[in-house]
Amino acid sequence: MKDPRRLLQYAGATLIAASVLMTSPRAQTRRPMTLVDLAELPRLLAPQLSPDGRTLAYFLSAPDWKAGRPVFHLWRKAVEGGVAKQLTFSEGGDIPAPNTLRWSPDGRTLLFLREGQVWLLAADGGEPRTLTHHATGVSAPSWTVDGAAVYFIASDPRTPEERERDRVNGEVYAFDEDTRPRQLWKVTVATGAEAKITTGDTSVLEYRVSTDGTRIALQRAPSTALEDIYRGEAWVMDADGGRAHAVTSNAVDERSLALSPDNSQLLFLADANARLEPYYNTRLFVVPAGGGVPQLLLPDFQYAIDDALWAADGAIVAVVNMGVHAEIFRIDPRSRTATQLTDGEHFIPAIGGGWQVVPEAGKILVQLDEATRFGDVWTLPMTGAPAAPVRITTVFDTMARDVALPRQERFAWKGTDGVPLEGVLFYPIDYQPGTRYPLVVQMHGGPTDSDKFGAGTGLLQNFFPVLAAKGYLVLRPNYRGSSGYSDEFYRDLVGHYFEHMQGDIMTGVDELIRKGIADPDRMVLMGWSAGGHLANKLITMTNRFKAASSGAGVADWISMYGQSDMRASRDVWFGGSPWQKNAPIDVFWNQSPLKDVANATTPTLFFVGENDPRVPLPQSIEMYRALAANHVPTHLYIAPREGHQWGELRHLIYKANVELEWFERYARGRAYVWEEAPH
Amino acid sequence: MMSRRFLAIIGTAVFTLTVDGQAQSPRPMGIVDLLNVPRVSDPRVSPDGHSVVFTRGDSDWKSGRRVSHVWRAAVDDGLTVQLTSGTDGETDPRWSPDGKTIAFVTKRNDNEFAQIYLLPTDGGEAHQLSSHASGVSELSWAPDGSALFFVAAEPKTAGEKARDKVKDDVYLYDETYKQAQLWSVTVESKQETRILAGDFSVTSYDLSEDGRKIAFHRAPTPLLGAADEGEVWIADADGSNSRRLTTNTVPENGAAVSPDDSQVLFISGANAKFETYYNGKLFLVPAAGGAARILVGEREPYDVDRALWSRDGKTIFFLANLGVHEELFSVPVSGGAPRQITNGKHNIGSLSATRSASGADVFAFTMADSASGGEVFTMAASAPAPRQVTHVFEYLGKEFQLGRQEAIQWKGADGVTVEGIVTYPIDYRAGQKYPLAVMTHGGPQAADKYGIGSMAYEIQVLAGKGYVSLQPNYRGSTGYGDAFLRDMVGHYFQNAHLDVMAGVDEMIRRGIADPDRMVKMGWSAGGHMTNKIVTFTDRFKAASSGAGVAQWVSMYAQSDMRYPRTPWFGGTPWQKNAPIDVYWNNSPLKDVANVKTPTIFFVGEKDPRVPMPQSIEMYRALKSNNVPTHLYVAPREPHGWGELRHQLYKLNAEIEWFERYATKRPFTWEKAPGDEGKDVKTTTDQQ
Repeated sequence: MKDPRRLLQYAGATLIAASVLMTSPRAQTRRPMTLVDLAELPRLLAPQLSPDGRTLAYFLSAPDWKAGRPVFHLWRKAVEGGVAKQLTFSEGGDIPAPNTLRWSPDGRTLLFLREGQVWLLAADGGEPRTLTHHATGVSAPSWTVDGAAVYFIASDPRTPEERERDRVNGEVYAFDEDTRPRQLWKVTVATGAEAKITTGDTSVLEYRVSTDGTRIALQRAPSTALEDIYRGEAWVMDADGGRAHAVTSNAVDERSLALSPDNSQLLFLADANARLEPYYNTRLFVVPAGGGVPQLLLPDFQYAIDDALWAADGAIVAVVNMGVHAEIFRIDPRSRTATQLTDGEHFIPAIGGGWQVVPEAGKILVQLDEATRFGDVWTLPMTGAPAAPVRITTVFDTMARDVALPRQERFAWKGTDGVPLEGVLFYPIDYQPGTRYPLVVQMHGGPTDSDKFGAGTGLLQNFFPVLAAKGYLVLRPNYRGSSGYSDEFYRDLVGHYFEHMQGDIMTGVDELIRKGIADPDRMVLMGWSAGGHLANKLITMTNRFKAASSGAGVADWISMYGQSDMRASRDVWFGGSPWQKNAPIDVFWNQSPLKDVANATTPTLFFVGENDPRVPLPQSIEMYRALAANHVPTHLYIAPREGHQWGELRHLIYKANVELEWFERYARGRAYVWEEAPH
Repeated sequence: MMSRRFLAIIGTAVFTLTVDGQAQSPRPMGIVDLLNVPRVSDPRVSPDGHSVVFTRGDSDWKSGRRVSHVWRAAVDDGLTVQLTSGTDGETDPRWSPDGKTIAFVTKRNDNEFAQIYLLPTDGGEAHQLSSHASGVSELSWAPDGSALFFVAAEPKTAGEKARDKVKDDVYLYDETYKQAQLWSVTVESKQETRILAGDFSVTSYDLSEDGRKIAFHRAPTPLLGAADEGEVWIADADGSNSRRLTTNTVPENGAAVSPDDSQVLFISGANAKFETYYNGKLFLVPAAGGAARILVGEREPYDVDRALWSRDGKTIFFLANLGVHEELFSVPVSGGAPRQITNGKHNIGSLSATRSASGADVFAFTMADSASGGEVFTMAASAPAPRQVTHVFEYLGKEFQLGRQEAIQWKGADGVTVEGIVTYPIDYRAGQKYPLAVMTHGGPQAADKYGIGSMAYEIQVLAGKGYVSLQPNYRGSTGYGDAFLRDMVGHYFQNAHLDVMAGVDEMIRRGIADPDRMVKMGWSAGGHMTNKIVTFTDRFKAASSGAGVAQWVSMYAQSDMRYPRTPWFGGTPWQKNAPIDVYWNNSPLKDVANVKTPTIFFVGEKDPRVPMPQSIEMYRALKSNNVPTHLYVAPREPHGWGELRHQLYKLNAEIEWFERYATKRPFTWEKAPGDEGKDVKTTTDQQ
């Protein structure tokens, strides 16, 4: 922290927000947001309430333009009020992974991850110190019940012999065969001694220690490869690794494993139906800890469960995806009833670690991502009755006051087959009823996901506040195949992929035009991942969009099936592999955007990360070269070092500049001045 | 000519017995032995005709690469000396017109880019001439020796470098390139001058005899995929008066100005109407503009590779590929039948000519055969036979037992004659059947010829292990006429794979190959063929496929070139009414469910030609269908692997695979020199 201006930024959350968001001290007029504003917005992650319920710890980001990334540090704030205090200051920052910040059971120590190792920080003062000195990076740390030790997961290291072999072989490697088993470890706080709890060729993907500390529920899979998750099973064992046994045996991924407070039942989530067949909205299952048939706890519950935890009284608290919003539910496993505890225009980032059940404090902690607060932390009592959440943090206080943010609204319409659809609509900041605005349709990835209120993940990727500031209307449709609706809705893709979803986009657009909000002559498409697949499909179907941007989208499902690091969901869509006897090749090909690429006339940009394992680079190359060969205006932009989601701020600002220039040029016929990132 | 041929044949017989009078028993060639075979290239005769400079590349196991240096050999006594020895090696040795200086290219000291260096021939160290802002290549001396011409890419701008520095480095695919420009640098003042530069690339050039004209190939971009958009141009030596001489949709190469500056010769794989996909033909076009005509190739079945004007401008000398061998020819510019100058079981390459002070054309070239990687030969245009200058490869015949090589012919399924190279096992005895390794060449617009083998086709290593190898010049190969080459047009796999299988049957019929111990291997188009063959037959016990195609639809887009592939399928897969069925029906992946042959795949992580996803598609398909398979990926490598340890790994893994599945013998991995004492398990294959 040699830069004094940077020091200032760390003085407090309020100050950060102020320095980023305010233009005049009086802040009378709300100013439109810029791309750099979005890049510099703080992100709050992994909040954890102390066992006594009095202190909140969390990670908060600040932009590091030298590294080109947001850097996260640990912060603390008293629940009762007062100013937030920054606790760590390392140059590289700390790792804000979900559930990696943990209070010790006595509330006197915080553990967190830095540079791949577990660090400890005394709550009452003193510098953090490193606890583990493991040969490989560690993940998922958690305290033993007595606080004397910390569990963690780590991959087996390469032996010196293996490293020498790599050198001798010029690092030639056997593709898909070089996975290292990941095991559960335990490190004693007093001595730093590390002990391996699990062994063997299989990998521990996740684990959770029981309330009494005697048992551990864990997921074990043949390898850490994404393909092998589906071959993983739920296991239960003693805390020392003894008496380990598999509790499930099926072809679906079990996650969020948790033993009930009395250790009799194991809770898990799976994208499955009651018969544990794959490709359904995420469901809550309970199985006897000793083994037995997993029971689907709420067979008629249509929403998707994002995460679930046991409460001390044997109830289950869950975060539920309800389409355009997410809410907290309390579930009684005996009566098999679910009670909704919250309701609002917000998203709860549970999978990102944005919630916690704190039995000792009798509280549930949630982050709420809303239109004008992109993720402050709130608590609500664990009483079982609906109650208004109470806000703890003030990170986003200045947003609603100082910057012009678009109004967010649920927007509903019907598909071509009459099925009700919805999405989130973002209005231009100067919206005047009766005026038609240029429209940007942003289509989410997954496709088993849904767009919700708030900022969502990938704010700089979608930059809707900047689009709204430039007078664009933005629609994020939850097209067929999205999660959080019904299984029928979710499974519309099964057997084909592009069945109703592309029509759902177009009927949504038509409804916006019919209502006089969208200008049919100035419409733009944007999508990433499955949203990119859909953008690629739509440009081969219609020329109603004046410009399109497609990130990491599919061209050809046959080559995609082979290239991607996951295949399981795709077997479901197409009815088998393209390699089996009597393969459903026609289904693969007929559903490929490339099949009809000769019809595309929409000027289209493509983006992809050079190291994307999910929808690899060659897919975008196929689309790009096809359009270029057919003389459709197009470019393909590639970001070095990036995977499926881009992370470097300069890459994202570059991408947004390129997109804004493209949209302004083709949809509105006007010039765009690029925003420069700070140097 | 034929002196060399006889040498080669007796070589294996005689030199196996004694070396320098000492008793020393030759041994089978191992993998490391193969990788240690030097590479000789780019020979140039001095203006006085007394010596030849050339590059020789030797394996440097410390750096893991072959490093090439400039060598000089005396024509009279063969006395050979190494002239340079920089860490990064040197290339492109070029005699100054007065013979007092040798220019070459190297990256030395703290230079970021390769530059031109000048070496006095009468002693002393080379000094740096150019200080260009990007790497230089393609050197030519101005005839008066006052300057050198070179090609270099336009350097990065300050703005681009600033963006790179802060890693603001999203880039435009296919649109981020630097145009190749032609420059000159004066010897005295080291002044660099831009000769040809603009929104185009000078992909190669030829300076006329009198130094007044430049014939060059100009393309809209330097990308390989734009070669079909390139044309032949001519300009004055200062870059003025540029004129385009061709207008067509085929790639041309090898443009050269006649000594009187009146005509330009070039080579193109096209017919007289400039339709694409033919054997290489020799064209002439008036330098003032006009219609280009074919001088060689309309009646001749062969494939013209490289052509040079005689000093008097009346004759053109050229190399032609005749299938299993490559020969030197001449043809009168006024017309008439070409005359074949050389003939033998060999492969001639790296042809250059020097116009000696006496006025005679003197050629230098390399000539490879079954026991040689290609010695340097010189030949005066009037001489009856070439003269061997170097003796780099004679150790091969002394130290190793080499398998005999011969060409065989058979009939394809449709009765057409197909030819190939057979390399016998070192201990071959007639009447005994041997395991057969079938190797299909890349290209597919290429032909397998007599030779010592390579990292892709380790014929002599396999010969040492008792395998007989067959390298069929299957339909689609060059050097056998246009009908033979164009069999692939409209489909790709029509007769090509049947020709391979007919060759296999011929080897069995002759009692040479054991039908129960056959393996199939190939790289690039040879990998395409391997992938096709394993979906087509289970007669092979094991297969190895390097950088091969899985399916043509995705391949068409992924690869860095499309123009040679479009003719196979009759259009792009992206056009209205695209011939998708042709693409798909000729894709090995279509029938991948039939594969039973244990097959390993190899690919370079940075292969732009047949990119890695193609091998991933094949590998994952076989894996998913429970066929024994591995995919070995080499970091940093493009289409052809260059690092020695990668090559060693490939050969070890491949031969182990063959030995396990075809001959059921154990195999011990060979180690790199220096690693002998190391106890490292070098195979990842734990099955």
